[in-house]
Amino acid sequence: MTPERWAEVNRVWHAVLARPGAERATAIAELCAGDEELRAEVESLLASLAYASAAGFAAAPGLATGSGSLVGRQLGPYAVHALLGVGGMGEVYQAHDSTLGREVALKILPDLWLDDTDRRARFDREARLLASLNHPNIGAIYGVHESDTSGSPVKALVLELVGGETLADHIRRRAGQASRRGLPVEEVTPIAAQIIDALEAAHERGIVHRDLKPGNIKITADGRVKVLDFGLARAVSDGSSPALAHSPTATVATQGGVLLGTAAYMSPEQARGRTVDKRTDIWAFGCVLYEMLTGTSAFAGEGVSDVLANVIKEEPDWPALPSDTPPGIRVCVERCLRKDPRQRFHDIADVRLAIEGAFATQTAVRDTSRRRLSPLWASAGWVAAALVAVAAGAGIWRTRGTSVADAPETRFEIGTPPTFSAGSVAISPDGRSLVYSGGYGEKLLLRRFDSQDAQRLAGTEFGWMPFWSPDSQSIAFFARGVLKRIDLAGGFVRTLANAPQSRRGSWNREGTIIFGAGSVGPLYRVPADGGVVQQATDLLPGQTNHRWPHFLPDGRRFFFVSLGSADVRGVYQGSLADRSVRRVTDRESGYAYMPPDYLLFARQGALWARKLNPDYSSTAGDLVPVAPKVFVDPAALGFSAFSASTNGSIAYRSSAGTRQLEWVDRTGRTVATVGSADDTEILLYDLSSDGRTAAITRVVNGNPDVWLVDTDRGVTRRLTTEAGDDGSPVFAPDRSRVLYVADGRDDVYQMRERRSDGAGSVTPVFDSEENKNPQDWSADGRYMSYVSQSPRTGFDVMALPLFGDRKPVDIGRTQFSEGGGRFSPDGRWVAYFSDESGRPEVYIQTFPVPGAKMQVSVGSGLFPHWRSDGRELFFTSLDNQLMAVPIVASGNRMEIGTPRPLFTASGALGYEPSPDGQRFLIVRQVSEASPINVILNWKPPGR
Amino acid sequence: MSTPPHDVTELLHAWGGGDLDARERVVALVYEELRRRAAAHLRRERQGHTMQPTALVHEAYLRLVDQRRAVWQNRAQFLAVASRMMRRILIDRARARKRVKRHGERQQVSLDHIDIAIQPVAIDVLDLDAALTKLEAFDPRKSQIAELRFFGGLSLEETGRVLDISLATVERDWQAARAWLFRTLSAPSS
Repeated sequence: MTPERWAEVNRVWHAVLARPGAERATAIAELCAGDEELRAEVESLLASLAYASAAGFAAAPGLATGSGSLVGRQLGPYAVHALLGVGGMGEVYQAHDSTLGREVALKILPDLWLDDTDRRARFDREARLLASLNHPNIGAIYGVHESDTSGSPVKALVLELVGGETLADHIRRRAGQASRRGLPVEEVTPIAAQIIDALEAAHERGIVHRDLKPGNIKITADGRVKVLDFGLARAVSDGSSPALAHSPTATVATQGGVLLGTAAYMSPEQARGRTVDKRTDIWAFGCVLYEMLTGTSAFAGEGVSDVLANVIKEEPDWPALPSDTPPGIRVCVERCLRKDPRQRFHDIADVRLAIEGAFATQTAVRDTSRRRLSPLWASAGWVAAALVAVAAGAGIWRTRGTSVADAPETRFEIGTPPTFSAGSVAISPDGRSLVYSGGYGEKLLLRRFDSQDAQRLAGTEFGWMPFWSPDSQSIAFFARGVLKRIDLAGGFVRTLANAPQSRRGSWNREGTIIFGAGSVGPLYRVPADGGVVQQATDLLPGQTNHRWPHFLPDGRRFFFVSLGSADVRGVYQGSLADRSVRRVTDRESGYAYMPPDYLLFARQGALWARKLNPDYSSTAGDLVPVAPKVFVDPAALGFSAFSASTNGSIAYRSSAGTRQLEWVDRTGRTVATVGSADDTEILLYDLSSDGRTAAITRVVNGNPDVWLVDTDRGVTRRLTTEAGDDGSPVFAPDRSRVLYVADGRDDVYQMRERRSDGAGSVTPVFDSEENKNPQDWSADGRYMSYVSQSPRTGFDVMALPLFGDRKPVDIGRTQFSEGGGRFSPDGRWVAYFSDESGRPEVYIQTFPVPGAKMQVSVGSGLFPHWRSDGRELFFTSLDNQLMAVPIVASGNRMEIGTPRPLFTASGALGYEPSPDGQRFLIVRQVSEASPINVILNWKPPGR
Repeated sequence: MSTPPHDVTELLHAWGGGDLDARERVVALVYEELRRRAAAHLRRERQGHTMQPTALVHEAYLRLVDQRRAVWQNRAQFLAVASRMMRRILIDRARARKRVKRHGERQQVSLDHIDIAIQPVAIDVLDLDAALTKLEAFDPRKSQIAELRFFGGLSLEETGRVLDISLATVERDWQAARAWLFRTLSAPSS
């Protein structure tokens, strides 16, 4: 063919293609005008194009050569019958699973991996974890298939076969149809909601997608959204690079575009090659949301480097958002696409809230707690929400300082998750928000009264006893032995001071925080922006401890509670200026100060208020009832579960719930209760080797002590009597003695020992400044394991030889958090957990000389315990399952079986297996803490 | 010997500035890199695992070019060169195999596609090469578009950028090239 002739063919061909299908035949006839050869050529090419499309010929760029495809082969139960595509990892085939009678997708792994043992092991681990994700909006990973027929090993991921089009295609297709470039808002919402559902389910299991983009979100024919390839980016990476080139979801076919495509959804921290967490998914979600709304990607550019530079530096084209985009959605996209992950939404649940909030304003959805609000407050709330939305859109977060003095009193309840610290409740000074403790180890929860749900505050893990800054913009809290603050605007968390124990604090307008840091000792002060920690009060003769401080309006004077002998205990007034003190009441009561002139306190189970004198030196006047039932720790000097805002609002809990010791069998069924349920905050620490005595702690009269319980008869007796906190008891192998830790003065944590029968004196075992919790005592009596808390390496597992120079040896001491530390019955192994992989997992290593460590748990594992014959190990998972794994050890060899769940220990707060492993002693939260009661604009009777 | 990535980036910049010497050196480096990597892949080749030439091209790009300093033009230059080199490598390899096997089985190439339930279209890499050469004789641009697509794995958008033509033009040209190639390759082997 000559170029000229070909050019003519092309001219006709293009003209014909430009016509609708029905008109083409006529068009050809017209354009060829009797040139039959030309006509035949054009028709032939048109037919070829149709065939080429039908056959998928070069439908995507690239080609693959090889010694053959797997089509037609049988891989174990899988009959491979079609090639679906070629991915960054390898080919993807469609196959029939004859065992389960379903169609699956098989993603074949590149064979170079087969030689890389580490990478394979890592992949297997990840794949098992990913396979545990089971959610209707997540494309399931069924497992890993390996086969080796005739010397050609194949390793494949077995995936749910998801039909339908990708969101990328969907956007492109819809953009072509509609007048607007993006999808209509009412179509965006259900898609976004389902993506959020998927991310939430995965994040709850600690799985980050890392490669979320429209190309791996599929929309099935019935409108269901499926997010594909969760976590594969991590599973397939070699662990070294941020894996620009390793997008496993990319088809090689589009790999040229893949680099671009993947880069466009990378978070700035990913682009910089830094470590990523779930906030990376939140970023990517923001990109996806933006793209759905506008039809174009948020970050484009010519070439990878351009795109990455834009991701790091440039803002998306905000005006491109359609004008009818609801403000809530705009805010949502903007908060997802903050460059600094600390300023981004921390939690996908917050994204959901933002989006649902945006739609709630249109559909008038209210949750139950909102319905209890007075109409006035409810409308004020919406106004506030709208203002916040506008402020946030401008990158500023500011609340209104509106007075609510004339607003009517309103009472409502806020349900909370189970918590270990029912008393950790603090209403903000402006009376608009509440912060409270989540479950043990959980983050603090922030509930704005104008929002529909609580927000988990990232970076506040293990936080409790929170208190607010005067401007209600920051929260200080105690966590893991330090005092921290979090700024709500940016989510920025800082450590301010060491505080081995938490005795709450108070924050004045000058930016000084006073706080209690121990169960003995005075109060301390520290600048709220960080700085030198100084003593703030002096113990008078006979006083043992100052706690629960609260600033008075002048910011110089403050209230606090003093413990000690009868003549020097009670609520005191102190002063930063001259450190003078005066006693306000002689009742050693939990209290709260309610500006301007009320003291709130608990008496006989009820909450009361009493007027203060103008100089705050004493109370006067009648006792005014506030609420009929309020929880304080059983001890009068315990932690008060109520707090007040500066404008007359109060939050409190009426009950912290009760706990009970129980025996359960291997199915989780209760076979016997031990003693009766009570509210002394029982924690279980150890079971004697014969299973007959349990070592627990109870808080009685404000004093945490070690108690021993007969596990048959339920008889309980107190073992320790020290004034400070005693805890973490473990039995000697022969049960004759108990080791525990006592919180002494001057930051010294002393391990002590005493006879189990209570006779004899206390013997110091080991002193150090680090907080430490004994875990186990080896069967030969020679070693004791403990968890220590060091400023440098956080939580570590150590072993203390109880002979020789008693110099501690490391079991698990890294910058990650380690815990547990249980010796195998033969003393040759130790089981503990570490979160070095990003999740707590249980490991076993040799002892006392640490060898290679073997991972036991899959997906998560904490608190290991051996059966007394060493042939089974138990541990718990993050989702509260009690797991069992068979162990075969002979000499220096150990084989670890597959962990199986025994039961879900919901409501269990610790467990100890019986010696035969057939029963478990657990502490069960019998009744949960009550909801938090909120009284907005409390009005004293008669006012 | 492997070359420090920044050298290739330098060369691409120089070539972009009109230094044809630099172009020759890029070609040599890219060819060497691709050939070496292809050989490594082939040694490992097992049943069911295919070499992915386009992946090699992009791996080579990532390896040889310093992304932080590269500009789009560098990428276009590189991919154009690499696609051509890849084609050469595949042809060489297919010819070598053919010699070994004499008139035995020809090297099969499966073209990527993503349509479900349709068997991949197997074509002969030598046939493809011959067809592209034939097309080049009367329509060099369409031939080059096809080359970039098959051997460089470029998307239409990228192809447009490499050749400095509009996406609409690339789309029209590619449609014609695709139809023509399919017809030519489906015809009974000559």
